[in-house]
Amino acid sequence: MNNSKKTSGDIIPAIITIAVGIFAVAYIHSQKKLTLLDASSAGVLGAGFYPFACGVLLIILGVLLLIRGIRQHGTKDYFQMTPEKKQNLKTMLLLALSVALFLAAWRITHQFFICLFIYALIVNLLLKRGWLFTILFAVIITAFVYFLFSKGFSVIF
Amino acid sequence: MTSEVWMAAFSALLKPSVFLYLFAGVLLGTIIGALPGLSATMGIALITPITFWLDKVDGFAMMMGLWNAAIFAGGITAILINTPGTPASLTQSWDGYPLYREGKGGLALGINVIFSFFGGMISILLLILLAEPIARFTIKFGSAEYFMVALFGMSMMIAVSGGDVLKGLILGVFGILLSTVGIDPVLGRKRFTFNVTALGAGIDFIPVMIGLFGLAEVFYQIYQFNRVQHDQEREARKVNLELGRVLPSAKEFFKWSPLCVVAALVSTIVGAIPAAGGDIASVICWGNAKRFTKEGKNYGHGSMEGLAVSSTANNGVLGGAMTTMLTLGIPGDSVTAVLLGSLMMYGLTPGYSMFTENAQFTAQIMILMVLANIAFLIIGLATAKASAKVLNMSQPTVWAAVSVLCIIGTYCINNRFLDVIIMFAMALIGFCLKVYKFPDGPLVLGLLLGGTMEKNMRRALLIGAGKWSYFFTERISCVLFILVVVTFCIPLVKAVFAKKKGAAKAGEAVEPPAEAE
Repeated sequence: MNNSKKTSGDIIPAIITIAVGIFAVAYIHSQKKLTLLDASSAGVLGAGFYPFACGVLLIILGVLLLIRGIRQHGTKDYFQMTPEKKQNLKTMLLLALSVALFLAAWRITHQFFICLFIYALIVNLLLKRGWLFTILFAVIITAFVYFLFSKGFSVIF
Repeated sequence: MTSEVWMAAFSALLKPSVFLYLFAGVLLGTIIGALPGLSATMGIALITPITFWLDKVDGFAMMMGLWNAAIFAGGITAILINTPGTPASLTQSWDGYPLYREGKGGLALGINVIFSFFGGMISILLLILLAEPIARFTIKFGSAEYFMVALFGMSMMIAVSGGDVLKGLILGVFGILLSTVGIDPVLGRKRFTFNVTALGAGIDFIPVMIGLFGLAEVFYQIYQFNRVQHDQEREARKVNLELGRVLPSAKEFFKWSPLCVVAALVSTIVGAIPAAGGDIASVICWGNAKRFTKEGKNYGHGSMEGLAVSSTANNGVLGGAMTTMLTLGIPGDSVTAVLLGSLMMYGLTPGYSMFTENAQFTAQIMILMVLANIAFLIIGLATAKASAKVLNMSQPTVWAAVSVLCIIGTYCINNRFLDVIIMFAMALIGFCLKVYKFPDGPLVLGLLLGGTMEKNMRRALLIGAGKWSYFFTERISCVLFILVVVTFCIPLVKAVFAKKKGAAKAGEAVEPPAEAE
């Protein structure tokens, strides 16, 4: 069993689940005001009870998923990478990156419509559309957002 | 609700703007439903932020039009290219596509429109008749009962959706954990806010929905894109077989109607069960109709009756889903989850108050459902043959447009950049969940019902002086708790039986060589 097979089943999501659970429990533990029981009156649950209980449950369920993942012995493969899927994953990751860059540029420059226009160009190029279509799409979508949201609904971007 | 309330509700709807937004919703819904890869949930999630800028009734008119039309239009792709536009139209492809290949595509599209309308109307009639009595029953509910109802909704969602109970449970708990972000509902203490003021109000539900059902879906479709299959579908679209007549004869209509009435009743009940949506309803109705009718042997080979039953069932669930949403506050499916989020954003609380304090608006929602059905019947029949053209839109164009609308739509809810960040984070999480085959329904429900669960559980414990036995001494709460336990146990018992059955089969397969020895 190679390393990729070891991590292809439910092991990674199980570890993430346990990590989220530990984070919730540790956070509640670190906040003095978030107690499990409210000290002011008997039997009243504190503000920390619910998130703490969720954290503990996530740890338990994560461990169960981890056991299942280990028992799969690498037989369960959610990725099953073919050359086409590798290319698709690359496109998808680039699209996610372009969304992140668009958001960052919008936040830093406050030039929403210019950023949107450039984003629309990049997305279409990533999805391998022709140049003419790409430019037309970018112009139409930017105009649509400008007239409907900015002018129509008075949204300030 | 009195007849005066109904009349007042109806007369308040007689405005050009209501009809304009209703028809716009129906048109959008028809396009969204007819495009493979775009679902009613995605459409509703994307359009919800826009509706917040409109009058409440206009916004709901648009959403009702989109929802009802998208479900019926899912059948168009099922019939013309053998690809269900929505999960609910799966069984429509089994009979609709063979009919299209026989040159009866027009008739198949006509049956889809007429019987979707038929199923939808019966379902809404049941909603109108039964919603108030169910809501009246909730007057007896206290904090313990509301907690148990929310828990029951969660358990049903986990047991019915995805099939993987462990993964469903993890996401349900994660959703509840997300709902604890913000100010604690009882003592007013900050939780997981990390000194970000905007997080004090908690994580908004709509950006999460847009991330999970919009952008994550785009990411996943790009990842799963199969060029060969895509090219084959495009070739199939070019064939353009003869469509023929659209309307079935009156004799045919009345022949199929009794069976379709039963299908509508069954699918309304199925729709009322959280997470059991149109796909489950149509499979149950189609499968049982196949067993009990003479025509059954032709089901799956181009049976018009089979298509009529499937079409009735997929729109029949909508009334049922609305019933549980309006009366108990538990969404029957992901679309009603968004609608529930919208109701809450308008400051409305599902339950009996919807039939007393907000009776007129509740009546308007129901009337809008009826009007949406009439609108898609007209548009569907008028454009049946032209609807095939919608399918020519390429998927990358849809992806690019949806990715832009996800960002803009999310920002428009509160004019808040943090919402866009949350939406993007949920899109990335949603993509991973889809890859690792986690059912996303429990996450949505956990986030939506988490606050209700926590508030009512803590209140119930306050009333019960901290005694957990309070949940079991109240009669309704105790019955609901038993239902929760049963709901969780059924998939476990099923899994044990399936394992035993599998082991027995494997034993039988091994036996012959042993005998040969």
